[in-house]
Order: sequence, then C-alpha cells, then structure tokens
Amino acid sequence: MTASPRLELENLTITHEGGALVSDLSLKLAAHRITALVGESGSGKSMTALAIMGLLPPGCSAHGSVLLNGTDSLLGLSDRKMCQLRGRKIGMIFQEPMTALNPVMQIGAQVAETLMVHRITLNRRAAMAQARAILDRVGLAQIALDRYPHELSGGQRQRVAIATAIAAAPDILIADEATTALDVTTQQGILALLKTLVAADGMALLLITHDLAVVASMADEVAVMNQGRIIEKGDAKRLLSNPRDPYTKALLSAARPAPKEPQPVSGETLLSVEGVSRIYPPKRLGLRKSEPFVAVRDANLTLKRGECLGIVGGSGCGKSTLARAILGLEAAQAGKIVLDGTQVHPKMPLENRRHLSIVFQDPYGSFNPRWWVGRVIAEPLDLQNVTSDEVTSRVATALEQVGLSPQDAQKYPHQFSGGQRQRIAIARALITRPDIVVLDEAVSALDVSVRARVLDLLKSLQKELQLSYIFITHDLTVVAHMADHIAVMEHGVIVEQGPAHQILSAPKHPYTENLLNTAPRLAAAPQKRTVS
Amino acid sequence: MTVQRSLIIGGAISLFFLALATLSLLWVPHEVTSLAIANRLQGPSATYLLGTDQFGRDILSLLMVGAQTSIAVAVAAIGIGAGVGVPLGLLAATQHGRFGDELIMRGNDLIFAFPALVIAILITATYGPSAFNAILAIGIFNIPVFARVTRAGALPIWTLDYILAARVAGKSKLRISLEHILPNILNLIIVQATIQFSLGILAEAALSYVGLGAQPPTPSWGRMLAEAQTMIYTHPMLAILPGACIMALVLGLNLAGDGLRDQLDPRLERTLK
Amino acid sequence: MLSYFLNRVLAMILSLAVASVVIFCLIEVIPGDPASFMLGLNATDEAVANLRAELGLDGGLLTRYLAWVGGMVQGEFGLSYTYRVPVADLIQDRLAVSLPLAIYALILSTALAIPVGVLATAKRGAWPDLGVMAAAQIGIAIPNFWFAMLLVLLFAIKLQWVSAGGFAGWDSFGAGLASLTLPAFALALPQAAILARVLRSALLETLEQDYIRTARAKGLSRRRTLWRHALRNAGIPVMTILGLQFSFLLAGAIIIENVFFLPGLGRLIFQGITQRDLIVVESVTMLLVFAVILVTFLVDLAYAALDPRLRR
Repeated sequence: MTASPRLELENLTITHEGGALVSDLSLKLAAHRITALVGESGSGKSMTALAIMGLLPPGCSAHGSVLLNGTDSLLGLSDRKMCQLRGRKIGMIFQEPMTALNPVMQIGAQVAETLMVHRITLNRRAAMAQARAILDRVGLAQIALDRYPHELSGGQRQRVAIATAIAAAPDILIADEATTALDVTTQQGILALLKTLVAADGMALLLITHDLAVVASMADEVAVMNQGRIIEKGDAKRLLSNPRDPYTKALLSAARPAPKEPQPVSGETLLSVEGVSRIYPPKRLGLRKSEPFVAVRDANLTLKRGECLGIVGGSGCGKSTLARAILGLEAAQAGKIVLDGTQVHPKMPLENRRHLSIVFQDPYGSFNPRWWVGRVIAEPLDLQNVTSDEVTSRVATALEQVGLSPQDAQKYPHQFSGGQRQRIAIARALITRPDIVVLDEAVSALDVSVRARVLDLLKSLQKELQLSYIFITHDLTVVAHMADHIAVMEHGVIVEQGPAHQILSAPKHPYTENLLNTAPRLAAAPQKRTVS
Repeated sequence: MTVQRSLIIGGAISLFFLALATLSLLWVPHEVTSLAIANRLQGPSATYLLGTDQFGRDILSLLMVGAQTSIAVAVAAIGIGAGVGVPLGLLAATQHGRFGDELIMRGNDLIFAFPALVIAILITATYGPSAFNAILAIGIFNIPVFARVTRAGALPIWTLDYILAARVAGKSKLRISLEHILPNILNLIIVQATIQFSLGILAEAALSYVGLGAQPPTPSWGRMLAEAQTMIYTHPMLAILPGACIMALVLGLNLAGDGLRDQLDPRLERTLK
Repeated sequence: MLSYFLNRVLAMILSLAVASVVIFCLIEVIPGDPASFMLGLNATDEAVANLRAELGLDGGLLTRYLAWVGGMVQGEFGLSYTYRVPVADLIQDRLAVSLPLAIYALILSTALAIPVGVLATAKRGAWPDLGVMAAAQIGIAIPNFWFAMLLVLLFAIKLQWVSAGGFAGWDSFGAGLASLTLPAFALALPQAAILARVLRSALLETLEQDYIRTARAKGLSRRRTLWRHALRNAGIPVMTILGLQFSFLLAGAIIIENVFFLPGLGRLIFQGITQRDLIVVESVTMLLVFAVILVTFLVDLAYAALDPRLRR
C-alpha cells in the first residue's frame, strides 16, 4: 500500500451531550481497497460514517481530523462546501432499501438528480440518458426509468440506491449495513456488485457491518470496533484467521457456532403435520378480486420428543405461516396437524394449547409495555386452571430457568436489554410446561455474542426439560448449530427435508444448494472466494 | 418527572372555567332569569362587576352560567362520541380488512360527510332547537372521530408479537382488546377527548349563535354574542367578553391537550433519557 | 389508475345514495306527517290535506323518495312552501354568494399557509416558527363568527375602510368580490394558521425519513431537499386537512353570513327552519352534503396524483 489514502481519519472523536460515542478513531481508506468497519450495535460504526459525511444528528459534534485525498479537511466545513463533496467525492448507501428512496419520485429522476446537483450534466435529457447507463451498470437494465420505488423488490431498490451513490463517480463509497435487510441470495448479488464497482472504478469502499461472514467474503482490511474504539485492525485474512484481541476472538467464535453433532433422537413422535395447505382468500381490490394466495402448500413434517426441527427459508417463503397453523392460530385449508393424538385447530380446547408455545424475533414488540414482567410471563396461564400461588411460584421458577432472578418479575420490560428480553420471552414460553416451543427467528435480532449465550441457554433447557423445538430461521449457521432435522421451504413448499448433517453436506434440491452456496460463510475466510 | 409547561397553563385555564361553571350551580352574583330593564346597559360597577346587558342582566352571572351550559353540552357530546366510537373502533380493528371493518369505516365516512352543523340543522328542523338536540348533533359527529383514532391506534398494536402470544395463550379478541389494546391507546383517546372537548365548546357556541342551541332563558355564550350583534356599534364590550371567554377556554383545553400528549408520549420519554 | 378512479366514483355515488336516504328519513319519515308539521297546530284539516296533495305526500315512501331524488338529478327541487317559487331558483341565487365565499376563503387560506408553513419549518425554533405556532393555537381556538365581529369592529366601525355587511351583487365583479373580502378573511385566517401548522408538522415528520438522508448524501442542500423531496411527500396529510377544511369553511360560511348580512345559503336554511319550510331545508342540506362528498372525491383523486403507490 504505497498510494496515498483517499480518506484519512485521525483521532476522530464524536461526542453527544458530553459523552463520547466514538473516541480516538484512526483509519485510512485507500483506492481499490475494501475496508470493513465491524462492530455490534451501539459500537459507534454508523456514527463514524455520518461524521465523515457531515450528517451527524443534531447535538453530536466531531473532533479530530478527516482528510479527503490528503488535503481537504472535512470537519468544520460549511454545509455549502460539504454539499459539493457529498455525492460528488463521497457516496453513501444505507441499510433500509424500503425507505431509502423517495416514494413519490421516479427512479430515473432520483439517479439523475445526483448528476444535476453536481452539474455533471447540465440538461435533464442528458442526465436521464446517463441515469439509464448507470442503472444498466448496477444490473437494472430491464427496469424502466419511470418506475417508482414501490414497484421494485428490496434488492432492486438497493441497486437504485447504489446507482444514485455512484452516479457522480465518487472517490469513496460508504455502505452502512447495506445488505443487512436483504435475503441471503439478494445479499450475495449486492455484495458482488459492490466488488465489481470497486474493481472497475477504483473507489475506496468503507463497508460497515456487524456480519463477520460478509467481512470475510469482501474485505481487504478490517477494523473491529467496540464501545466507540477501534480495538484491532489490520489485513482481513490475518485478522480473521489469527485475531489477537480477546474481544475479536470472542466475536469470531460466537459468529461461527459449531454444527451440531448428529445424534439419533429416540423419542416418540409428538407432532405430525400431514398435507397441510394454508390458502388466503382472495382480497377485494375495489372492483377486481385478487387471486387466492397459497402461503403453504401440502406440507408434511414430523417432530419427535426432544428433537429440534429447523425450518429454513428466505422471507415470505411461508415458514411463519406454517408456524401459525402449527400453533393453532389459523385454520389449515387442507390436511391436518396432530399433536399427541389430538388435532390442532383454532377452536381446540384450551387445555391442549398448553402444550404449544412460541418465542418471537422482535425483543421490543414481544411484551405489552404496560405490564410488569411477572404478569407478562404468567399470561399463558390466564386461561388455564392454575391458582395464584402456583402462578407466582411458576414465574419464579421460569425466571431462574432462563438465568434471571425472581425479583425481576416486578420490573417492566423496557428495563431490560435485548438479550434479557429474549430470556423473558423464553420464560413466558416455558410457563405452561409445554412439549413444543416454536422459535420464530428468535435469535435473529441479537448481536452475535448475545446470540451465542441465548443459543446455549436454549440447548441446556432442551436437555433439562425434554423440549422439542421448531426452529424457524433464515440463518444457516444457526440452524446447523441447533437442528437435528431440517426442512427447507421455498414459495410455500417444503422442497427438501432430512437429517441436518445430510441437508447441509449433500443438498439435493437446487434451492438448498443455492442457499448454501450464497450464504457468506466465515469458515471460507482463509481461502477468499472469488465472486462472479 | 417534569410536567409540560403547556399542560400547566392550559390545565389552569380549563380548571378556572370549570370552577366558574361549578360555582354557578350554587351561587351567582345576580339571578340571570330576572330581567330588569331599569338596569340595562350599565358599565362595570361594584354591584355589576362587568356591567349589564340590554335586558339589565348581570354579565358576569351570564358568563358563569354560560360556561356551565357550554361545558355540559361538550362533555355530554364526548360521552356519546367516546361511548359509541371507542367500542366501534376496537371492533373495526379486530375485523381489519374484512367486511365488518369496511362497514364501520364507510359509516364513519358518511357521518364525516355531514358537517356537525348540517346534522344539527336536520335535527332541529324536525325536533325543534334545544340543548339536548345540540348535544346529540355534536355527539354524533364525535363518534367517527373516536372510532378512527381508536382503530388507527389499535391496528399497529394488533401486529405486535405480544398480541400473538396472547392468542397462543388462547385469549379471545374481545379479551385482548380490553387487556392489551385499550390500555395502550388510552393516551390517544384522552388526548383526542380534550381536542373534542374544545371543538364541542366551539360547536355549541356556533349552534347557539344561530339559535339552534340552548333556548332562552338558559344563558349561553353563543346566544350572548347573537344578542350583542345589534349593539356592536354602541356597546362593543357585550360582544367582546363572551367571545373572549370561548377563545380562552378553547385555548386552555388545546394547550392542556398538547401538553398531555407530550407528557404521555412514551417516544418522547425515551429520547429524554 | 382507471380502477382506482372508478372505485372512487362508485364510493361517491354510494355515499350520496346513503346520505339522501338518511336526510329523507330524518325529515320526511321520522317526525310524522310533514304537512301538519309545516302548517303548525292551528291548521285546518282542509289546509293540511291540500298541502299533502301539493307535496305529493299521498304516494308511498319509495315513490316519494324516488321522485325527490329523480327531481334533484334534473335540477328540480320542488316548490318552496313559503316563497311559492321553485327551490332551485332560490338555491341558485344564494349559491352565487355562498360558493364563491367558500372558494375565496379556501384559496386565501392555502395561499397563505403554504409559504408560511415552509418558512416555519426552515426556521424551526426561531421567531417565524414560534409565531406560526402561536397563531395556529389562536386560529384553532377562535370562533370564526366572533373573529368576524372583531374584524367588523376594527375595519368597518373604527377604521371605516369597508362597509359592515350586505352584498353588492355580481353585476360588478369588483364590488361583489369586495363585499366578500372581509368575510373571506374572517374564515380564512384561522384556517390558514391551522393549515400552516399541519404543513409544518408534516414537513418535519417527512424530514426525518430515510430518503431525506439519501438526498442529503447525494449532495442536496437543506433548502433543495425541503422543496424537492419533502414538500410533495408532506402534501399527502396536508390534502386530507384541506378536504376537511372545505366542509369546515362551508359550514363556517353559513354561520358567518349572519354576521355580514349576506344573502347566502345559510340565511336561506335558517329562514327555512323558522318558517318550517321542510322542502327548503331538505334540499339545501342535501346540497351541502353533496358539496362535501364531492370535495372528498376530489381529495382522493389528488392523493393519487401525489402518491404513485395509490395508482393501481
């Protein structure tokens, strides 16, 4: 690395009302290079990006120096000056493709706007022609300029966002969690595109992410952030294979949980799903009627006592709909679900509901904010025949089982962290002494280190209480760590199922194969794979 | 906990008028039903603190009883609106996307198509003007407002995971509505009630101004304005005082409502931390 | 797009149909016999019978309803009992005052509110913003007929710039407009303050959105972001308020006509009530409801023009 850096951060400190969000951060971004800034939520990585752009939220201030191409210092520039640099010298793309584009503006105009603002093309017609060329470049050749964002998929929208960011051929591109909200296959496409653009245009790419697997497949250099500081940085290959700092080590091991040892599950069959279809009736759209929507088609599954069944698929594949049918919340239109000899359906007796419970993804929407934790956990018992003394003691037991203290019952949910909230959700799921717990993306919103601890807890509870899990996720590393048996879903159909090790090592269906190949994997780090 | 300044100011103004209205139930400086033409159009004095009108009635007493009329009409109208509208809104939210929801919301749109005044006109045209009919007219118009606020507040909560957890526990939609939904949207409903309170005061004033509200001899601010209109060239204070009372009370209620909203908004609380 | 349009037309026709049934029931069915109501307690049986015949009350309910609606579609509203002239002619005269007044006020209110709302947003926290917020509070709180009286006190009595009331007629457009100016301001100013506040809060909310950050990251200045990206997105909630304000202005116009002695629909309908002329009351309320439903329809179309997500 002899070329002078495109962007040089030196002792960057960002403060908010006296507290430091980022301290003494130094980093260099070079042309043609991809630098990853990695950290868990709240580590200050996004703040760093906003400071470079001069777009810090009100109340925050940045000190230190940010040098663009060795000369211009960006901190302290007037907004007018920054406007000339933003988009022209430094482009940026954000996490949420669904909201990052103006919903009432045609995509061509949004790309052309970058060109017009920086007077790269002076008339609208030329700008639109160039916008067309840029959209072709980001792989949207089939998409007309006059389409609106809501007519595009998430991946396509993220491509439009990239197009607006690179339209003026900036020297530096910042991608802030740009693929986090996307399905793995879509994610892979966007990452490949970014790589191609860096290679062709020689931009310096700052890749901000929490996902070490993404880092492994993309980055030349890595800086790991924790609590506002860079704790380790260096060559990506070296750092990922031989981390020095204990935090980095912990992060890496938490990010690649070991696949579960195959072991035979001998228990009797607890639940069987036989030919279940879930069809939503057609919606009236004014004068027209839509087609009936088949969310799940002819699903067959069995679950033994003590077994963990993984259901894997991208968003909208029907996995959560199937879970709702298994929980007896919605009626299946065909087939039947049998739990321990009795049929599961929305009008089943309350006593039977006790055997099923669920843990959700969102640690914030999972609890009534006005209820104290004890009442939240006890809710599944409200309609069961249980005395109030019994309820109190069961709540205490459940809290202890998930590693919290019985006194926590008197607190409110907002007093707990994300990981603790997920423990509360697990306690609620255990309170009825269920046989089956459905875990619907239950660890997907958690940072990796927290995730590892929650997964450990789930495993030990499973052994201790002889639980059966239905583990629903999009994340293959997690399902490999947990599941005995895996079912893969696509477009409402279970395309393949079998023992976990078999599915993961020798997939038969092309969709499973694709899923396995496209998921960025940490294990692949040492031999960096080339992405076509 | 810091209390919003607008809540303090607005609450103080509202309570002042509420106190005046309550006091007028027990005591007023002068009887408002007795006309004493001999004392007509007097300026402020020790006997008549704010003077008298063209019929010789004490203006302060009229304003006090007028506050009572206005507040009673507005509160009763909120009772009708919230009593019918909130359950309808909760019901619509449980039926989201289905026929019941559609029916309730279309019914709401229809009531919105009749401005409150038009409803009042229709009712008074056939049943004659009275305070009761004014309450009915304003109350009917309040129903869709409460139904909408309730439904709009309830819908996002229905998508949250804790509702699904309650359904996994086997709870009915009615029970979930009462246990989980209503307590979480009560803020919205209370804030809306203060807004409808102030709108009710304005509507009552407008109706009695055009003669469709409380009938003589019951005093009301709106009719005081109507009676003052012919005197405006010579005695402008007769028109200024009741109007100022209406504006002050409505302003107070709005400030209290804004303050209450900020006070109860959990999002704001989070950013303060 | 066509499907959305047809859908809205259908909804409008349905609303009108239901509204007409409600009005018909409230006025002609629930209170009992309209003829004896109109004539009062002292009417002779003969007079009542005559009126019944004249009003066509001897027919069945459905026939009467259909005749009423059919007449309205052709612009026939029946004969006013007190004035002995076609109600359609009465309405036409009065509409020439009320409709221009409501539209005049709506234009004034919008023209004032948009620049003021944008200014308040751009100068958030500074005095133009605080001024708008305070004015909006007062605008909501002030009864518009009282505000009208205050304007009369100031401009007609103290300053004597304008006459205190009456309508000069449309023979001279300028004179007609002049006699509507003070009433229009009385209606528009409080509404403009409210609209500016709504626009301000809609703009502020829009400015929090992710696509605003994207626009800033492209290098757009604050000002350009506000005009190019925020205003159109904020237009959607503003349209809703504008639609509601029209029905508010229409109702306000009816009341404010009393302050300025304007011969508009308001005066017509209140005379109708005092004289128990149900034909007039029925027709004018239907007309008012029609105007409000029509505006709702236009607002729905404006939504689709503003927001491509609605055009399907």
